[in-house]
Order: sequence, then structure tokens, then C-alpha cells
Amino acid sequence: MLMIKNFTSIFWTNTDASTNQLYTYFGIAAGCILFLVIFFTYYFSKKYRAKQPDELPEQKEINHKFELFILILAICITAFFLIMSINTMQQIQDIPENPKPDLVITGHQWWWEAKYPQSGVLTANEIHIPVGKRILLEVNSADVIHSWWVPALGRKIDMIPGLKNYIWLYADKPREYLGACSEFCGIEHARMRIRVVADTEEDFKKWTESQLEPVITQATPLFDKGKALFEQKTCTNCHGINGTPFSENIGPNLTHFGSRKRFLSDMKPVTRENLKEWLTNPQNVKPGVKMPNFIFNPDEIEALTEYIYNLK
Amino acid sequence: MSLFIDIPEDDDQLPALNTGRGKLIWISSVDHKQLGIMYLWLALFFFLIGGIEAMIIRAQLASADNDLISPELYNQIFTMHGTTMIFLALMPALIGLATYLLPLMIGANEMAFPRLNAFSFWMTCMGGFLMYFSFFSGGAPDAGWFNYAPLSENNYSSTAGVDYYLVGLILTGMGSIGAGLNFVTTVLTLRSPQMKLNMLPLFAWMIFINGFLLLAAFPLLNAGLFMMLIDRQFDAHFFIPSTGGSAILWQHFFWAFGHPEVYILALPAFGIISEVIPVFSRKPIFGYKFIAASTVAIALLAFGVWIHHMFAAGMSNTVNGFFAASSMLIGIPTGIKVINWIGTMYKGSIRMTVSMMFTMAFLIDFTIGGLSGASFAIVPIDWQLTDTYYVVAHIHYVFLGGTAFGIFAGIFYWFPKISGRHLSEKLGKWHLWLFVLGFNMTFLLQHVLGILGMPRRVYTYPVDLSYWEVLNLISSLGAIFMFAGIAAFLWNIYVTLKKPRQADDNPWEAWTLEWATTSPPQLQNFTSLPPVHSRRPLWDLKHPDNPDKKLN
Amino acid sequence: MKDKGKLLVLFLIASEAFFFIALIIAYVYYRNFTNATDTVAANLDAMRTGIFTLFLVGSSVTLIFGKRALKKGNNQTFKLFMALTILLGAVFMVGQITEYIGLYHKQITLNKDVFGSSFFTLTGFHGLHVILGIIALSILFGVSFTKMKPVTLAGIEGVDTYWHFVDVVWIFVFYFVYITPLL
Repeated sequence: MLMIKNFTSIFWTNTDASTNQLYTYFGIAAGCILFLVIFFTYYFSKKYRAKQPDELPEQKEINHKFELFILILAICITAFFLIMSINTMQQIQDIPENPKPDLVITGHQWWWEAKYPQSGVLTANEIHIPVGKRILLEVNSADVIHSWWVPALGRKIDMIPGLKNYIWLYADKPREYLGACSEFCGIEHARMRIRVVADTEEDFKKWTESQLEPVITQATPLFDKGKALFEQKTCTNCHGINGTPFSENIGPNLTHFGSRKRFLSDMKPVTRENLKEWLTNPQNVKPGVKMPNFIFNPDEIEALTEYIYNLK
Repeated sequence: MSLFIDIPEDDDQLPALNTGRGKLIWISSVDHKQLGIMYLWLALFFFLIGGIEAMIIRAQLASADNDLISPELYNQIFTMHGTTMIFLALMPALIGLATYLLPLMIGANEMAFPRLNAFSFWMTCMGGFLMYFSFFSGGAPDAGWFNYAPLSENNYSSTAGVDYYLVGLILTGMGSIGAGLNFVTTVLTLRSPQMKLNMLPLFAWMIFINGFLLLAAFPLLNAGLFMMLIDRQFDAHFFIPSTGGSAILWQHFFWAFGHPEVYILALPAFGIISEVIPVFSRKPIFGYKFIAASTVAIALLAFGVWIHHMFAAGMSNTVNGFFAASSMLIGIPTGIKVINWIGTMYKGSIRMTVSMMFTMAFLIDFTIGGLSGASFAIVPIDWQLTDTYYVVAHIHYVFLGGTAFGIFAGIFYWFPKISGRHLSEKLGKWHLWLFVLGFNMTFLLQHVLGILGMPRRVYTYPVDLSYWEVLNLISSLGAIFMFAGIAAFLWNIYVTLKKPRQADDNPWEAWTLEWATTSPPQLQNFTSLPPVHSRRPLWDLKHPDNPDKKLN
Repeated sequence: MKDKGKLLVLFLIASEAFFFIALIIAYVYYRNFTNATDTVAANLDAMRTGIFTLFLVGSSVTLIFGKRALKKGNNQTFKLFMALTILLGAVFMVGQITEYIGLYHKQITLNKDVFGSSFFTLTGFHGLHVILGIIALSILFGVSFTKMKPVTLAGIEGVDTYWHFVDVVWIFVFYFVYITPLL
């Protein structure tokens, strides 16, 4: 019983509220139609089963007025749903003329780049939004078509290279929301998952401020060695770190990486072990990923891990 | 015998009749019956390959974070599964049945263009095998059956797989256009002289309309395929946004073809159902005119609904609203057809053969597929559920629960005519129950998976999401039942074909002209035909006291 | 017995029409999104292609005369008009090939930009159809020196329809590619 209750609650809290209403209406209509089809198929097959092998019923069709009645009924149901869906569409998708997005997300094979134009924060994969506020989201893509979908925050929208698309996001509770890329985008499409953290107003402000602070530099020898290696081993050709001369954006931006909970588009929690495993051979962890295996030796991995893990 | 009329013969001798009877009789054949049978074998062959691919997919998804196969291989396999099932299994099966039956149903001895008919078959065959050659040349296509650009372009898909996909589909597409040409011209020119268009059996009518759909839809696909091939081979820029092309235009071409394609696969199945239900209910079909006319409406509307595959692509509310309306509109004639079929059973006297049971499974499962399809016309629901497992469930309810059940019903119905032997009803029931239960077990819960947020085309999923694992496991177990059902079907065909020929000319006491000749028909289908005054010429022949209303 | 050959050709070209519509849509779509109009104005010579278009239209006219002669049983005139049709078609192809060479020297190629891609694909596929038509006409021309069989007559009927279709397609292509940018 508990399982069923849990199940249905997931079912209904998983999508945004305005679509939920349509789900309900459609579910009722579809359920009725399906019940009638199953019932009559079954009932007629029992009731009118041939008693003798060469029995012949009267060769007459049923009244064609019935057909007409069904036709009119179908048109009415359809018109109802058309009006409902156009209303809901306009409610969900009311993008202003010259949209000023609060958040710009760019899909990459296979990670998310997030920019906050108002505050200037640039981060990757771990996306924070304030709760109780409609956020205008702009999406685009750096390579192939991706699709942004966090069911509970709003509709799905394709991220198409060369095009900008806009939707509204709305979180009603401060919690984590899960989603996934839902347009097939290559080998690691399955591992391109989304986790959006909805913060209260203060928490979001705090998070934004902390993101804007320069990277804390520790003065341990291992950290410095890692920093040197990061520059020397061409990591900087893809990864940018704010406050350093390196601002490439081919791979995820690593500023404040250590403050994130998960990495690799929500695949693994940020721990030293996971980071070491990743640096040892990225292709082992996430086959096909764009980061090549650099074949670092264990000392280098130790140093790089120390550096990246402490970017807070 | 004044009851029979001679059928007029073509000026030239039928090519079917000058074919030599050597070892090469099948390869060199231009006979519509032999070609039809070859289409059916080809379809069965690729259906098994696609089925094995499906089993691998379900095995990989049976548990979370599974690493049975690599992501590269998974992507190749799901791409080939979709492409195979649509272009190499379902289409050849339907075109095969049509090639075999269309001349028989309209009282002709051949298709209008027998050599073109052979050309169509061998193009389809070659395209299919060419696509599978890609496995031996570095990798199969891996960008999905819909092959969205720019993922399918050189920058992102470096193996030759997509090139094989493009060339293979161009070849099968040309074959399909050839088949379409043949269907349309055959119906228009070779009908028995007394048979007017409004007396065509519904299967023949559906194939006739289908011919037009093939002729109009496949050139659109071919144009897109050629452009992408030119992109990949000659570095053009059609679908590459980074050099000025448009990623979205490919989607327009693909779905402008893709949606009519759905009806190309559905209409012949509707035709089969419209033949089987009246025969086994012992009554004429309810609403012939509505079914025939609404098919034309569906065929025309099919070209005006494709944007509903792209509702999430960010087009304006106006465009989306317009296509929502047209998509809902096309659902009405399709939905009422179900009423027509159930209405035919009303006050009939139903014989529960395996064929009839598959038809009833069709009625229920196709309704589920149709209803889930209608939910995509409700744009906000589509904005949530497109590209999720809900779509996977929907497409399988339409193509498997709809088209494939229709094909199974048709095979059990026409097998005596084609081979002169009855498929075993007992094995048929095993086949039916295993397949239908397994099918619903596999796909019903995938609707729920989609609503819970599982995107389609994922090679795996994380372990910590509620219910994903258990639902996927049930789904994978269902696939095993389906596989067992198909094994029963194969065994059924094998044992049946070993038996001697014993079927009557008209074992089901059906009423259309294909049952007026021997089972199986001779190389020349008919030497004489019963007169055709109504939609059920054999009924009129058998019941001269109570004939159908004359239509000519 | 209805003429199934004629029907076949009619349905085939109807199907082909959808193919060309798709290619024309692609061309127009890209032209509206890029600066292709400038490229067209600077590099395509509508006057020159217009003259070659007249040759292609002329070939349709000669074919009509040829068929008329054949119906009257005037085989010599028919052969003459067939030869003229093939010649005019060939002149059109020469025009198209020299145009391609000219564009190549101006570095406008298939792989330069979307204009090049869509222009060469559209006109190239049309050119391919013209070449196929010329081949078919040449075969019929050759066959017409032997005794005319019913199948030859059916062939002439079919190729005739096809050739007019290729002609009409070109008029649309000419309009969309060469004329609309000037308007």
C-alpha cells in the first residue's frame, strides 16, 4: 500500500502544475475510451460467438446514425482538448519580445554550461536557481542538438546549435530537481543528466556571491604542484578557471569545482577517490567522453586532485 | 457456365508466364506471387534480426548501470533496431502481402509492371543487406533511425555507418516508390472489368491509397538523404549549423516523410483488419464508405501534421497550435475506424480463430497506441513527454500492437491461400498469448517510465531513481515472452510447411476474389472469374437468393 | 485496356515533383537565411542562363512537332525533330557545364557555403535528369531507324511526358534561382 502511495506521489509531483491538470483530464477521457473498447471487444466476442460452425447472422449493418453520433462526440472531445491545450500553451510559453534571460544554459557533449547574465556567474553542471520565482531560461548548444528537461520545473526545450530558445523555470520548494538531456546526442547521452538545486532567496544570494569570489589559493606545495601541472599538461586548453588567465570553455569551467556536490553531469559525487579515478583514465569512467586519457603518473594525479578538489 | 466471365488478357504475354522454370526461378522471377513470398521471407528474416537487437537492448536495460555492451555498440544497435523494423521488416511484410494479394483481390493475373515489381523487391533487399554490411566496415549507423543532424554529420559521427544508412535507405526508398507505382497503376488498370473502385476490397483500397502515400512521402526522404550524403561525402553544408547550415531543416524533411510513413505502415494493417473481422464475424463490414473515405482524409492530413514531432524544437505557439489542431483532427477518422470494426462484430456470429484473436488484440492495443498518440497532440503534454519512454511505448503500441498484430492476423488468414496449408491453430494460440501478454508486459509500463522521467535512447540509467529499475526489469522480462511467442510462430511455419497441401480454395468461406482460385493459385491466377456486382462477389455466387445490393 | 504505361510515367513524375519541391524548398530556405542573394546577383548570369533555358523550352516544342509528325506517319520528319530535340537538350547541358566551370573559377563550389551546396545540388539533380532524358531520347532515336513496334511507341509516349516534365522543373528552378533575387 505504501509503495502504491509513494508511486502515485512521485507520479504527480514529477511534472509542472499546469500540465498536471491536462494529464488528469486526458487520463480520464483516454481511460473511458479504452475501457469501452476493451469491454465491447470482449463482450461481443463472448455474446456473439458462433454456436454452430455454419451459422449465418443477418447480413445487416448497424445504424449509420450511430456512426454520425460517434463522429460528433469525437469532434466535441477533440475541440475541448484543443482549447485546453492552447490555453495551457499560452500560459506556459509566454516569452516577452526581447527576452532578458536570468540563466543561459549551453549544452555540450556531455555537460551543461550555465551562465547567469545578471550576476556574471559562470559555472558548469551544478545549476542553482532561486525558489518561488519564475526564471527565464535561454538555451542553446555548442555542438549537436540537446534537450533541456527537468519535468518538475517546466516544459522540455530543444537546444539547437545556431538557435536560441527560451522557457520559464519555476521551483516551488527548495530541493534538488532531477532531469536529463532528452534528445539523443551521442555516445554519452545517457550520462547527460541534470540536477538543479533550488535555493531559498538568501541561499541563492549567498551561492551567487561565493561563485563570484576569486579562487582561494592554498599555499601547500602539493597544491602548487597541481596548479603548475594543470597549466603545463594543457588542461587549460579546455578548462577555464576564473581569476586565472585561462578562460577556455571547451570543457566545464572548474572555478569553485570543490564546492560542487557532483560532477560529470551528475554522474558521480565529488570525492577525492572519484576524481583520482577520473584522472587516471576518463575513458574508463565515461567511455567516449571528450577528455582524453593523459596517462598521468600517480604523483601527478595526487597533485592534480589536490589542486582541483580544493578549488573552492 | 454463364456464371463465370472470362478475364481479358494483356496484348503481350505475361512476363510471369515466360519465366523459365530453372534453378534460378526465384531469383529471376517476376511473378507477383513469388515476389510476394520473397518479400515475406525477407521481412521475417529482418524481423528476427531486429528482434535479436531488441533483446540485446532489453538485456542491457534490465538493470541500472549495466555494462553488458558498450555505449557505442548500444547506439548502433538501437539505431539498427529502429531502422530494420520500420524499413526492412514491417514495410516488406506489408508490401509483400500487398504484392501477393492485390492482383488476386481485383481479379488480375499480374501486377501492372511485373519487372518493376521485381526491381522494387531487389532494391529493398539490397538496401537492407547493404545497411547490415556497415557492421563489417567499422561500425553501424549510430545516430538513431531519425538520424538527426548535426549528430549524423562527419564531425560527430566518424565511422561510415551513417553513409551506409543513407545509401541503404535511398535504395529501399526507390524500391518502395516502385512498389507504390505498381500498386496505383495495377488498381487503376487491371481491375476485373465489372469491378468499380467502390467495390474494391478494403485491403486493396488501403493499398491503393498507400501507393499514393509512398509516391509522395519517399521523395521527401530521398531528397533529405541525398543532401546529407552530399554533406558527408563532398563536404557540403546543408545540415551543419557551424558552417551556415540548418539543423532543423533535416527534421522538417525527415518528419514530412516520417509522419506519412506512420500511415504507410498503418493503412495496410487497417486493410487486413477490415478483411478479417467481417469474414470471421460472418457479416459485411460496418461502414465501408466511412472507412474508405476516411482513409483518403487520413492520407491527405498525414502530410500536414509533421510538426508534432518537433513541438519541443521551440517553434512559436501559433505554429504549434496549428499543428496540434491538425494532429487532433487526424485522430478522429482513425478513432472511428475502431468503432467500425467493433460494430462489425455486433450481432455477428464470431469464429474465434487465431487470426480473429490477433485482430481483437489489435483493436485493444492499437487503441492504446492511438490514445497515447493523441496525447502528443496536446502540446503541453508533448512538451513533457516527447523523447521519453512514453514515446517508445507509444511507437511500439502503434507498430507492434497495431501493424505487426495486423500482419500476424493477415498471415494466419491468408496462409492457406499462399501455401495451401493451414497454420496450426494450437501453436498459433501459444504464439498469440505469449506474444500479446509479453508485449503488454514490456511496453505498458514504459508509459510510466516516460512520465517518471526516463529519456529514450539511453544506454543506461542511474541506480538511485525510484522504480526505474523494477519497471525496466519487468519490461525486459516481457521481452522474453515475446521472443518465445516468435519461436512458436517459427516452429508453426516450419511444421506447417512440412505437411502436405490440404487447404480448400476457400477455407474461411470468405467473399473476396482471391478465394475464387485454387490454394495456392496457379502461375496464371485466374482463367475465369465470377461476376462482380457488389463488394462480396463470392457471397453473391453462393447466395443467389439473398445477394448484396448491386453497385453497377 | 487503359494505357498503363502512360499512367506509370505520370505517377513517376508526380513523385519526382515532390523530390524537386524538397530541393527547391531547401534552396529557398538557405537563401533567406544567408547572403546568398548577393552571391546570386554578383555571380549568376540570368541573361546567359535565360538563353539556354530557351534552348530547353525549344526542345520541348520540337518534341511536340516530332510526335505530331509520327502520328501522321511521317517518319522522316519525326526523326529530324527527334535529332533536333536531342541537340537542343545537349546545348542546354553544355550551357550548364560551362556555367559550372565559370563558377568554379570564381571559387564558388559545392563545399564553399550553403548557397553552393544547395545551388549545385538543385541544378545538378536537374542536370542529371536532363542527361537521363537525352540518353532515353537517343535510344528511341536509334530504335526509330528500325521497324516501329508498339513498345517503341509506348516508349516515345513515356519519354515525351518525362521530357516535358524536366522542362517544366527547369522553369521553376530558373525562376527561383535566377529570377527571384533580381526582383
